Amino acid sequence: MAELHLKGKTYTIARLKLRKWLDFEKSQEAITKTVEDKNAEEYARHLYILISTVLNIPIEGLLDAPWYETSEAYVVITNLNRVKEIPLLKSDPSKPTKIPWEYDGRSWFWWVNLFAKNYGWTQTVVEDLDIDDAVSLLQEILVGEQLDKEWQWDISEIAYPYNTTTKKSEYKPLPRPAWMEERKVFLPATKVKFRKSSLPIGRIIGESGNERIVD
Amino acid sequence: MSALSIDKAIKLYHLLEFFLPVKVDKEMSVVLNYISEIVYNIRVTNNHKVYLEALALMQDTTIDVIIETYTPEQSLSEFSIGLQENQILALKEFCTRVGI
Repeated sequence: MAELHLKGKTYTIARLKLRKWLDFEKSQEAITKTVEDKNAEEYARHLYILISTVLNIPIEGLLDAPWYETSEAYVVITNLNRVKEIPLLKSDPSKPTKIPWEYDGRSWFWWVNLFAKNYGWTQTVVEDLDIDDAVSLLQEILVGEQLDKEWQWDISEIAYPYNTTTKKSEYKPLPRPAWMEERKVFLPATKVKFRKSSLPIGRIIGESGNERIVD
Repeated sequence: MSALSIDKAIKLYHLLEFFLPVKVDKEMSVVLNYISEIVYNIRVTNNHKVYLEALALMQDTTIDVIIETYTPEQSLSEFSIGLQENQILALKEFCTRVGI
């Protein structure tokens, strides 16, 4: 829950449920586009649409609100409806490409199909989900699907390709999506000083393969 | 005079954009010093039309009405009140941050 102030009134707002959140996301995309186009009028229009939808008040009531109250309201609404960061949402930096079967409003049906297929939920149940729950469940569904695929892969011949050099079949695991990969953390190397008398002597082969003799 | 709506406020920012002081030091953070610097920047660059357009926008009227009915002192006073009312420092920060 959050509070925002507009034209002398205080509104208490709750996080949007999945269906309304998808509309909110669409408005956010439109707002980003207007900023890219440097179109102040369209920017304002989309802000008003978004705020009026969330507050459930007519747009006409917002048109004369001071600019700083409108922008503050937008910030409050955006912060309240932020999605929690989970590996699935953090990992893939590639831009989504437009697919041939895409159409306006498809994302809603994509979510309904996902949960109906996996959990047998109805449209009403799906539209009432919190977005954090929805994305967490999506990640669980994708993990389940990947582990099933890995199982199928592991028991098939394709997982054990023949290596002509070693003349043996070697296990090759099914690649995982980037967000399921374990992240390697490299700590910065720290310089440690040793007394000269403690250093090794004789023939030393370095990391890069170079050799030197130390007396 | 009341604060402008968001689209008009952005328009105001774009009108004054090149006359807003770049550095906001301690002295400049006092809003009246900041506003007088804006007026000075407009005056030295001979951009009186920008001044009149900004004032007309804030007064929700036309340049002709401003010229006919306001004395120079009155217009300066209204200009200053208008920029204070519209929180010009915050408006600059907002437009720069959003990138619009």
